[in-house]
Amino acid sequence: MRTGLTVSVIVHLVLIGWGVVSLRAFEPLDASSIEAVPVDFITPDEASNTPLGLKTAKVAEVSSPNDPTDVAAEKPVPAPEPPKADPVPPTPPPPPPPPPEPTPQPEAPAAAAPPPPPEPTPQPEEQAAPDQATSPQETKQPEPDAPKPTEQPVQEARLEPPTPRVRPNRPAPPAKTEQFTDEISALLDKTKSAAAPAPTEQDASIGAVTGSPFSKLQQNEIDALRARLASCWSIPPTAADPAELRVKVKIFLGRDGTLVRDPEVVEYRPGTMGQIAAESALRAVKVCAPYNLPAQKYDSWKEIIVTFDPREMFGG
Amino acid sequence: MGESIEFAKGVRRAMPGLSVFAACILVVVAALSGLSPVRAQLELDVTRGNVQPVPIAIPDFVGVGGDAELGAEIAGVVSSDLKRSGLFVPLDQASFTERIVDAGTMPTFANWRVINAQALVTGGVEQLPDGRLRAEFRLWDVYAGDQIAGQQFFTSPENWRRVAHIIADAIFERLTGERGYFDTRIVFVDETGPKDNRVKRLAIMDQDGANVRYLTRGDDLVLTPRFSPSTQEVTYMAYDSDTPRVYLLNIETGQRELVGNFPGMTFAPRFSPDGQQVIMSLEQGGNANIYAMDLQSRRTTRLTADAAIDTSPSYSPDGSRIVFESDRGGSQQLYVMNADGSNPQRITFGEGTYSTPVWSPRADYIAFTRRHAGQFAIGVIRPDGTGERILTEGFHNEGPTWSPNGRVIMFFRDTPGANGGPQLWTIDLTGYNEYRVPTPDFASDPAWSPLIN
Repeated sequence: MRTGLTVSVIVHLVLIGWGVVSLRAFEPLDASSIEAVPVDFITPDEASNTPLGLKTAKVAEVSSPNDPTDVAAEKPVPAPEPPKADPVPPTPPPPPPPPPEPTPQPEAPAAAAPPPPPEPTPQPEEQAAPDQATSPQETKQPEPDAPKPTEQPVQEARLEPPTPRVRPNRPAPPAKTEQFTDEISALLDKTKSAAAPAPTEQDASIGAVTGSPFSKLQQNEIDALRARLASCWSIPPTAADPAELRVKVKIFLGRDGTLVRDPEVVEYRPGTMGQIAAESALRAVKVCAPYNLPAQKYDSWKEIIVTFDPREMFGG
Repeated sequence: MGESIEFAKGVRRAMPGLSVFAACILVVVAALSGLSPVRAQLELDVTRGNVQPVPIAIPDFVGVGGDAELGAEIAGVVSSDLKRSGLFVPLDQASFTERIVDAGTMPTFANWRVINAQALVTGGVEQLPDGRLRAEFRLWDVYAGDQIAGQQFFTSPENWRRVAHIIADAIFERLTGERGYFDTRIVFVDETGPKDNRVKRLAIMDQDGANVRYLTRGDDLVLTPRFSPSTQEVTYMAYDSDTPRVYLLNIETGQRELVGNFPGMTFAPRFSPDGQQVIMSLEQGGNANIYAMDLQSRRTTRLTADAAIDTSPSYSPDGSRIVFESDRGGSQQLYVMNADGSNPQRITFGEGTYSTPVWSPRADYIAFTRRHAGQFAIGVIRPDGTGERILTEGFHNEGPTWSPNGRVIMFFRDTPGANGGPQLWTIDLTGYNEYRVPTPDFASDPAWSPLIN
C-alpha cells in the first residue's frame, strides 16, 4: 500500500512535471518566433491611398484642430503629455481600439505619440491633409501598447524612414536640427544592426524590435506586379492539359528593377509542351523588365519566385 | 523561458530520459523556429495570362544570287499562314529597324525587342546550279537571344509554296507545341453557273486557296468528297443517272471506281482512319443504314439495322467508335456507337436537329451542323455528349471538316439571294479567327487532307 502510494505519487509527479516542462518549452519558443505584427482591417482603397502616416503621432495633433469635437478631447492626450499618463490608461483595453474606428493609420499616432513631441511641427501639416482625405475621422486611439515599451531606439529608427515614404519631397523645414540629430543617431543605430538594410517605416513603428528585417511588399504592390506579369505573358494556347503549362521561375532583380541575370526555371512539366511553357514564362519575365518596385523594400523583392499557372483560365 | 529551463533541470534528476527527450525536442523546435523568419523570399502566382497572338517578325527571305522576289514571296506565305492561325501577329515590315542580309548570321536582338517581336524568322533562298531550289530558315527567340529552330530544304522551284508551308508548320510547332496544318490540301466542290443550274466539279487546292486543280469535268453532280489518310485518294458521291453512288478517285492518276455494288443509292462516304475501309450509308426502301466496306476484300458489313435513317458516319481517330446521325428518336440527332455497330448512345439533346458529325483528329471533339429556328450553326461537342458549343451561326453554315491538328474547322457558308452562293470559311476551336478561304468560284463541301508527308 505504501509503496503503491509512493509509486503512484512519483509517477504522477513525473508526468505532471514532464507535461509542464514540455508545454513550457514549446510555448516560449513559439512565442519567440512570432513577431508582434499590428494588424488593421482596411479596404483595398485605403491601402492604396493611405500616405503611410505611421511614424508620428503628431498627425493626430495637427488634424485635431480641424476636427473640433473629437479633437478637443484628443488633443491633450497625444501632444502635450509627454509622459503619456493619459494614453496609458486606454492601453489596457487593447481589444477595444480596433472596433472604434477601422481607420487606416491608427498605429501611426500611437507609435509616434510618445517620442515625437519635438518634431511634431514638421510633418503634421503635410500629413494632415492626406489623412483627412482618406479617412476623415482621425483615430486618436493611442493604440498603444507598443509605444511606451519600444522607447527611443525604435523611434529614432522610424523617424527617418517615415519622412521619405510619406512625403519624399518634404523633408520638414522647421525642426531641421532636431531631425538631423535624429537621423544621425539613427544612422549610428543602423551601423549597429547593419543586417537590416531598409528600416521599414511601418514595421518599425509597431512591430517587434527583433522582427523580420525585410519590409515586405504590400498586397496591392504584389497585385500590381502580378497583373504586370500576366499582361506580359503570352500563354501557349494549344495545350490540351493546362497543368502542362505550370512553370515556376526565379527572377533576380537589381535595385533599379532590371534583371541582373537571366531568370531560372525552377520547375516545369517535362515534355514539349512543358518546355514551350517554360520558354513563354521566361519570355514574359524579360518582356516585363524593368520592374517598377519600391526601392526601399529592395530586399524583399531582389529575388522573386513566380509560378505561372493558367489553370484558372481554363476553368480548372 | 528562463523559468522553464530551471524547471527542466530540477526534473532531470528524476526522469533523465524524458528530460533528454524534451531537450531534443527543444533543440529541434528552436532550430526550426529560428529558420522561419529568415525565409523572406517573395513568391507569387500568376494565374492569368495573355491570350493575344504572339508578335513575330518575318523579314523577307534573303535571295542569294539576287532572287529577292522569291524571298519576299516565301516570307509572305509563311506570314499569312501564321496570321490565319490566329496565334501569331506578323509585324509590319515597315517597323523593322534591322535589315537581314544574311540568314545565317545572328541578328541584333535589341533591334527586334524594340518593336516588341517575341520571335524572329530569318531565311534565305537560292537557285542551285543544278536547277533545284535551296531554302533555309532560322527561328530566333528574341528575348532569350537564341536560335530555337532551323532547317533547310532542297526542292524543285515550282514547289516553293510548299516549302513555305513546311517552314510555317515548323515555326508553328516549335512555338506552340502542336503540329502545324499548313502543308495540307483541301478537296471541295467548285460551283459555277446560275443558281438553278450549277455545274459542280471536284477540285483540290492548298489549304490557303492556292494551286487550284480540277478533278472532274462537271458532267456529274458531285457531293461530299473525303480524303483518304494517304492523301492520294478521295471518296465522294456522284449522281450516276439520277442515282447517287459512292466513288473512289485517285488524285494522281485520275482513275475512278465505284465503291461496292448495291442496288439502292449509297451516300455520305468516309474513310476509316487506317484507310482500309470506307464507311457509308445505303438506302433501301426509304430506310438508310450504315455499312462498312473493306477496300481489300470488298466485303461489306452492315452496322445499323433499324427502321430509321442512319447516315453521315465518321470514325473516331483510333477507329474504335463511330459517330453518326439518326432520326430514330424522332428527329435528327447524333449517336455514338462502337465500330462493330454495338451500343449506340445518343449524345445530342439540344433544340433543333443535328447533322454531319465529324470526329476531330485529336479525338476530343465532334464537329456538327445544327439547324434550329431557321439558322444553321457549326458547333462542337465532346464524344460523351458534354461541352456542346456553337462556334458560328447564320443563314446557312454546313459541312464542317477538321484541320489535321484538330484546331481549326473549315465549312461552307451560303448566302441568300439570286447571286448568293456558298464559300469556304475557317474558324478555330475557340470560335474566333474566322477567315474566308479564297476560291475561284463558289465552293462547298470542303474536306481537309491529313498532313502531307
